[in-house]
Amino acid sequence: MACRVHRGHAQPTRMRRLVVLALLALVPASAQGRVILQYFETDWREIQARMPQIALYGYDILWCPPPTKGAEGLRDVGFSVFDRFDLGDKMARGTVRTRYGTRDELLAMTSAAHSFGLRVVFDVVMNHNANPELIENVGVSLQPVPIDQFPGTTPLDYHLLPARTTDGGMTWQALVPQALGGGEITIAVNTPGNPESQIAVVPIPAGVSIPGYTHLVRAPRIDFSHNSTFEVQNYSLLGLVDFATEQITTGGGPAPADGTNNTTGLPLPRFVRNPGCPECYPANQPIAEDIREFLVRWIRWLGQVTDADGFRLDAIKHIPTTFYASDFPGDPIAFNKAIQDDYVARRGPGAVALIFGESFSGNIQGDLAPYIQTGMGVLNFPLFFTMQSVCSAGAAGGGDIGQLSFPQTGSQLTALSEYGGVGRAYGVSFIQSHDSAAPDGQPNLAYAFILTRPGDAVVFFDGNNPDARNFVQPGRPDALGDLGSTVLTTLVDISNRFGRGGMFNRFVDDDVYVYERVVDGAGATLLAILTDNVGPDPRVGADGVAHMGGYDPRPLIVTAFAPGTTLVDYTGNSPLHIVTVLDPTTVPADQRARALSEYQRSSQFPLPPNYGLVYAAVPNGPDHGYAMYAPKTPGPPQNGARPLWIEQGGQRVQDMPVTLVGQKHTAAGVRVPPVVLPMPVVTAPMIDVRVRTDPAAAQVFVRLGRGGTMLAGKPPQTGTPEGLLDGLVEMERGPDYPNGDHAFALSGVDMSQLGDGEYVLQARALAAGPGAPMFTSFTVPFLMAHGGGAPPPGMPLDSDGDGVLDMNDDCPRDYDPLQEDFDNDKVGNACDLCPLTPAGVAVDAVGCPLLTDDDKQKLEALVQRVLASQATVVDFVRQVDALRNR
Amino acid sequence: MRCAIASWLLLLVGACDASTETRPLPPSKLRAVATAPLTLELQLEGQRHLRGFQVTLDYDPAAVQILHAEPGPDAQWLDTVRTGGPAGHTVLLVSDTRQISLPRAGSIVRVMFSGNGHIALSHPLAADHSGAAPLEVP
Repeated sequence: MACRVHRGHAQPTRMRRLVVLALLALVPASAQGRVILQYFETDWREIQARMPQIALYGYDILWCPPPTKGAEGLRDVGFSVFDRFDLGDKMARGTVRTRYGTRDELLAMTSAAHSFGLRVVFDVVMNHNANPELIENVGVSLQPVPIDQFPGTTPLDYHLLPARTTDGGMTWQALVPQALGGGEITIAVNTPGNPESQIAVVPIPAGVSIPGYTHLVRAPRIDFSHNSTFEVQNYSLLGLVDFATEQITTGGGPAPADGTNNTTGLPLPRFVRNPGCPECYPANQPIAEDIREFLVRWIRWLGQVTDADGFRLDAIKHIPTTFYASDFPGDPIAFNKAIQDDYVARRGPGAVALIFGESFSGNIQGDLAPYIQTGMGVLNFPLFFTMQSVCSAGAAGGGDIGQLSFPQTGSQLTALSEYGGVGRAYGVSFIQSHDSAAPDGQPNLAYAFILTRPGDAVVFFDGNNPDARNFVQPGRPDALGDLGSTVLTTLVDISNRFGRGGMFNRFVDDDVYVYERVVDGAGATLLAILTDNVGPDPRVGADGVAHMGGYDPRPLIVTAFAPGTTLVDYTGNSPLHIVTVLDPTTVPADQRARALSEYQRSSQFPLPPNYGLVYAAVPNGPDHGYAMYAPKTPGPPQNGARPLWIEQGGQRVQDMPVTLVGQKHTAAGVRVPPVVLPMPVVTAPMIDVRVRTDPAAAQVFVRLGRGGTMLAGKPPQTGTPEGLLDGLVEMERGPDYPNGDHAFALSGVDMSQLGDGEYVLQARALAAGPGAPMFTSFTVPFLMAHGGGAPPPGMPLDSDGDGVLDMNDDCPRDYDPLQEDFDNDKVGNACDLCPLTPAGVAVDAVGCPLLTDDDKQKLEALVQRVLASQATVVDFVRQVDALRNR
Repeated sequence: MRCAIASWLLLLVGACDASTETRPLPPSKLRAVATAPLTLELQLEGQRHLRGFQVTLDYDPAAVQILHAEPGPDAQWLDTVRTGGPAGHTVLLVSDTRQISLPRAGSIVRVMFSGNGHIALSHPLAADHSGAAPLEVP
């Protein structure tokens, strides 16, 4: 048994290597990273309503939670899968809709995303179904789903252990797979392997015999510190019942042992799994299939029904690589190939589906590379772990930010490992997610790095939905500019405009990291300076020059920007907002020598041709320890007017204020005001698009949605350098404005074929001059309303479905149609943790009286004493009582 | 339930066996359970309504770093979940400034960490409405 299993995980044979190499081409190798908005905890209608903002701020890809029905019904985030073919259109688990809405709402959201030029990726779970013995969410009154009652599956599809009991089911003696030593173990309640109060067990199905055993019991939970590949792939992840997805192959096809369940030793059953759903099958022809084929069919079906642009694969390391890869010609168990083939069938030749997987591992070569070789990218956990360390509050600026600077790969597109983590072609960088909190010390610094490092990067947003659960983790509240913060939206803009080309170190030590992005053959696009220092910030030293960081004044940096170039810090963080690149020959010899010495120490690459030297600065953290310098790009009109607008009949189209989402509160209780976006309403079949910029713009190009279509009879650009203008149509330059502003227009754009709804126009204004192209994007979401009668896209929301709109609801996340509020504190009884507050007392988001600032300070001081072992929790509680009861 | 009501009535008339009514509750127990990679949940078991507790997280600082602690799934409202103290012996304080008690049982706190090593609990101390309360880390 052990030999058979290991053969399945052996190194690729020659044939398999050939197939693997072919699959590598599926993974995009792009220097220009894309920005992914992971948008969770929000129903499909609200995501759709905010689509104009998602496009406006420059996100490329939308990553949404699992769209399938979860075992915990309306409360299920989606990872406790119940029915993979239920997208909110079947009555099951107490609801038709999923946590996020109905199937129709899901499809409308995806369609809207595509109209805005966004790609959509759904989270999907192949490893498991729900925990059969545990309801995880508070307030769910459902019973768990027994192992044998998940639609389309049988107990023999799962990694269960043959078992028997001698005490009436109190404990079970289970057969341990040979790969884990054989013999038997006792499975009992409230033990590490089965920490629930019940044991998930079913009788061995009729017609099947395992001598000495009567039942099948869920395998124990994985011991994460045990580090056995067999255990990781065949035992239960967090109690979730685990599919038998192993495929045992030779170089040319399935091995004799293929199709055998690793833990029961029984053949995988083959039967028609969705007999009542012909439309769930290709050509509407139900066929018999094993669980692996079922999953492969499902992912094709899901792509076709949702029109998804790819998938984020959950828990990949708990499934063997053979499940994902095409291991031999015609391999039917090739999950990634199924996704890609279906995407090409829908989008046409050359289309590349987005596939990236989750594996909690920092080991690139050992753990992640085998999965990358199956044709997927991976979430960049190695970089995530490093960022957690560097940017944590515990590090307090004492971390080593230099860890992010190697391996140096420059312009190399396909390195497996680079700059603190996985290479740009394979890694999807992130610093927080639904599973993991952001670094608690310097999250902005962490975002600044991943959004300017090569490769794709994720911004995590939970829609600012307060929810009394630990899963999903809170997201970044300003991902879409809520709360008036532009930190994230500015970084996304910098990523889009300047995060191009290769990456090259300019200065590295443990406090400061300076790097540049450089486009081969064109020139530099971005000079980034990061510091993890959080101490005093002298800003300007005794010599009058602002220093990099507070501790290490080293103002001169080598740059690939040509001498004489003016650079602007687009973050607004640096005390030196504008700097000019110096000619090295004009710099005193000792300073030049020192700068060159530091460069040689920091970079393995030769000096850039025609290099310059620059004085730049970055303030200390924790909130703004980064600066991003790039040449000045074209700006909006000098008179402050709007740069991009639409005209119909020679008149500017009027705006309509649209409320995209009503008032909310973050998980921390902070009020988030309603989001209102002014949107032009186009009612005529023909429009003119106009752009006005400052004098820096030489050319302007425009696109509708994702572009690629003719506008005003002009074809879109193709094959442009870096692809920067592919799909856009050039606008015509008109006479300058009296103040020198430049005017551009595209007249006679036919809108008659667009249906009523939301769309977006984006213009790119390019500066003249040598070096890599520098541009500014201007974006206008608009409403198409033929005849002027379209309703606004944003609609007031009723998240809890109690008939009271969120903006008026005293408990917007709890079903409370009566809106009872005994203490009249505006926080309803359904969510009021202090329901008897005296009249007139100011309360917090959960309805409890606020403490005075003085009282808060007293308690904070006491917290610090407890943490320093100078006081105890008893003192703390007494102090709380003293303050509250006086 | 019926028995409890009867005891309460007896107490009112002064006829109750005081030793029965004041029998001390057993100590609450606090366990650390790995619920996800790099995540520990501190799960409370007991019959007392605690107002808070503190415990020391012991680990090898060369192998493990405590990143973050937050309210667990059964006590999401908690407004005081803090960590501090020396590396290797991080003190965790859990309470609420609004006088709201912890659940008697449930997952109270999640602790996220990095690295690869063991984290043990020691020096447990709890408080209820009347002062110190027993808490064990089995």
